[in-house]
Amino acid sequence: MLSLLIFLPMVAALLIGSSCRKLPFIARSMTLTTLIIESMLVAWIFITHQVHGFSMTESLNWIPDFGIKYLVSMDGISLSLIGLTCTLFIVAMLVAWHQVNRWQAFGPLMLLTLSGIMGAFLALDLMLFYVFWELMLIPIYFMLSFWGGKDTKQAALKFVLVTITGSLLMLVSLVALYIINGNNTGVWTFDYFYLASHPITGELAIPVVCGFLIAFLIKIPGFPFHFWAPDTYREGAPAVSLLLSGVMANVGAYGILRFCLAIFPEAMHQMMYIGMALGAIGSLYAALLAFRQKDLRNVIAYSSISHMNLVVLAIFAWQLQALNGAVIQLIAHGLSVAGLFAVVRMLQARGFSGKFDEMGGLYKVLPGIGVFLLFIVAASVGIPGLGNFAGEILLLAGSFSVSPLWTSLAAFSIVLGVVYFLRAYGLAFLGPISDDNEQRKLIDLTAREKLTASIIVIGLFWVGLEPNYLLQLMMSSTKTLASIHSGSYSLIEGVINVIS
Amino acid sequence: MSSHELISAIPFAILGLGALGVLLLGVLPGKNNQQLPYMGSIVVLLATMLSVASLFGHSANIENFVVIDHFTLVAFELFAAGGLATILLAKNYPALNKHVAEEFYALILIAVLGTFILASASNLLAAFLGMETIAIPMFALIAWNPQRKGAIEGGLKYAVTATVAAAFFMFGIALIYFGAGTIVISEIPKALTSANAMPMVALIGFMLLFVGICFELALAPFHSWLADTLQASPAPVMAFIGSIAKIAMLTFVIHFVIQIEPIWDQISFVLWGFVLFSIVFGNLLAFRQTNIKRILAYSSVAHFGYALMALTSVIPNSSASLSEAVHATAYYGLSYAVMNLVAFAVIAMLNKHNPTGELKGYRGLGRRYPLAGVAMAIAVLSLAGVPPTAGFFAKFFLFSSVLGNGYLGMVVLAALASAVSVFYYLRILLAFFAKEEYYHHNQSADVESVEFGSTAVISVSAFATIALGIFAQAVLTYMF
Repeated sequence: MLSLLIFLPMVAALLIGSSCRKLPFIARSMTLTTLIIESMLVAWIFITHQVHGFSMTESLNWIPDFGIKYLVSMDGISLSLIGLTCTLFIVAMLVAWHQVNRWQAFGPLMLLTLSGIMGAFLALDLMLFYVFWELMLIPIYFMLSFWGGKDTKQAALKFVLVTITGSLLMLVSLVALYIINGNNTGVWTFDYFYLASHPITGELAIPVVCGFLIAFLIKIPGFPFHFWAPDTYREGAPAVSLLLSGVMANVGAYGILRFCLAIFPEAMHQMMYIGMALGAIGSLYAALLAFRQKDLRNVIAYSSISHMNLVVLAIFAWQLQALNGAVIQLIAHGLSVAGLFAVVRMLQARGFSGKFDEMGGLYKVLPGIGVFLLFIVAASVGIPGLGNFAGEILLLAGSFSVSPLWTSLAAFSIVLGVVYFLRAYGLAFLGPISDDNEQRKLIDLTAREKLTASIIVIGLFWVGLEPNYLLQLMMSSTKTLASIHSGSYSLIEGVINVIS
Repeated sequence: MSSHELISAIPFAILGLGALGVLLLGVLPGKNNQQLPYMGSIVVLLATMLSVASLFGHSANIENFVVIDHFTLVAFELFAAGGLATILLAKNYPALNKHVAEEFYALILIAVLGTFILASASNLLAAFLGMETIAIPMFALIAWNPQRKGAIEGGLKYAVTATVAAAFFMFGIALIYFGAGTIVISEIPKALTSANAMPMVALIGFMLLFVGICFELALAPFHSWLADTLQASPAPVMAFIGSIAKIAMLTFVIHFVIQIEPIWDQISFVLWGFVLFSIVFGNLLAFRQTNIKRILAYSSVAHFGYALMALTSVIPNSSASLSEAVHATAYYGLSYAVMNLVAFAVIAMLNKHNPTGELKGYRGLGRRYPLAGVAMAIAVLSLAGVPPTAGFFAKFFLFSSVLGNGYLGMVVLAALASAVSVFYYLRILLAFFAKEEYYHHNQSADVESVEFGSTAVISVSAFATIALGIFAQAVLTYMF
């Protein structure tokens, strides 16, 4: 079943890529069909409540000489994030609908990315995780390079170089971890469960975990490794930026949550305050920068960085509420940033690149988009009842109990969020409208855009009003993770009961 | 020589006699037929592969000259396949068209024979013989069709380099013989402990030997010939030099290290400098190139730096460490040969659109020829070490071997260097898939067909690049 989730998009991508060479529209509908089938499979897992702790495990030997297994499993955290992934891929598809001309190439690349991301969320063999982690990078690099703004090639190159540097450091750490563990225990394996039940301690733990952290922080993008993000988010096609910020960033956060905490408890404990400080400073710094931007896309990029750094803060705080809040925040942030990029695309379709000086007073001509953007802005700044509020309140409350200083500092970024978002909204949609824009016959939301908007609105309301559903789903996993910290640095047995 | 040994020597015989036979086909009376030697050489190579396959399970030491064991047999299959690929590619290669005759095929067969001798050498003289049997046909093959621009120059550069390498190698052999009293590799360690041995002289001999080897492998600082030679030679020959000839040398090094195990730790330090220089300079020099052949040449310098890292870092007196290093290096060599073959085959196939190999000449060709584009993407991603291709697992096995020997700094350096390498690899891909500028001016070019030879080579080796990665376990088990 889980392998089906991973390989269905991959096979579909190969089929579409090889059969639809001159047929972009058929390729488009087939891509959408695949995404919908995938989402229905995920929905089926949600509905049948099969996931308690790690369940649906599949395990095969892959390279036994090196202890590499094909080990996939799913718990509440990965299931929630996979649900988000499917939703956002459909949203991205709808956003890119008319913008992308060569669907026979774009569709398969998108599906390959999806299968890489699925694999990364499901893999519990570290080597397998690494394989999928790299696999998702390549198609998205092509999507960034060949569809997007005028400087998109530069931005994509910057993105991929930074990311691969991080990944290679992670590979070195991975091998080091493998060797240290092998020397300590005599078992040569990349199995997450084994590694987590024999956590690495000692002086080598910190350099090794740093390799992982750098790779994950780059993806998130966490301070101080966020420098690639603003350019890339701005130059990429909105659909691609949406996937990068809404989905791929989550894989980074998931990596820290899943692997760093469980395998390196002692090192992560020693680095707790450093990590929280990075998160707090990063979110504040990005919020301040967001305030000065002249382009809506840059505001979105910095706000995304700011929100993701809150997640970093919460993960490092390593406390039950904070971890729960972090996952909820990942989902809510994914939805809201998707909404923001969808708006960017809507504006681009109407001839606005995203610079504020071209816009102003658009509410008069585009009330539908105006209301939708206002809704997402409201969600992003944390209005109660919407997703981000649930996440932020949990993660701040949790982190506050660990480090009042850094949490209070980070909380300012939310206040700043209100300011920069309202400023951006004002510059774009309120105020006087230029004659040019008033004369042009701009069409408000089309049916497809309404569909996009409604998916996001429903998602944000659902996460905001019923966070309990998700919390119940991941409770056992986050509880065990949190208990590693309060306990004696070793995974209690509960986590390892694999229900297959 | 017993009959058992005679059977083990059959592949050599088929190749050597086959080469002569193909050469004789040219003097057949009547109309000069190009097809006959072409088919003939393919038959010879297939027969060789078959006879090698029938030898699996055998092992023999023929006259203390060559050793046949499982690992060398695997290498033989690879080299014969590489020779076959070269011939398939050369058949319709435009720059060679009308100039490929029986001599060309015979020379390739002789070069393949050279790789066999070199890879299985158990005697330093055999290694020398193999090395020269590869090098001498190459002089001619590089400069084939001498009217081409730079052909003579490239051939000459290779000839000078190969001769210098041979001189170092020969002098090394002489000193080792002087110091140890034997040139049978596996007997050297024991001979050095005897009363009459002169270890210092032998050590200097080993150093010179390695200088010769490093010339042939184009390790920095002896790398400068490779880029010029590859640029000057026809793409099929380039594929042979770049992927098969160098891997034959690497196989010899692996074999050498296995046979000389007891004293390897006293010699291995010689290689450190070469390894470091190659990784750093190979990647940095590739950075500035605008020609795909030169990029691949410099990247090859870096790759051989990685490949030798594991053997260099072996822990003294630890057979586990040695066997892991040998596995890693051998897998690296195999995957390197296969993925480079893809890249060179694509270059050969697209030669009629872009004879010089400048990157900007490839704009849009990946879109027009999806097979070539996808295969190049696979090759380049594999060279860059992206999973799940062979190149990734090669790097992974290598890193774990080196890290297991305790060289964290080396591994981090290698990782950073390969991060740098991603930059120039991606430039190749960007060029291949960029929008075509002049496409609309010659729409008619769209319908031309692609030859069987290059299509077969490209698809088989591109498929192998991924399969070697995904089925790495099976490959490792099969190789040793």
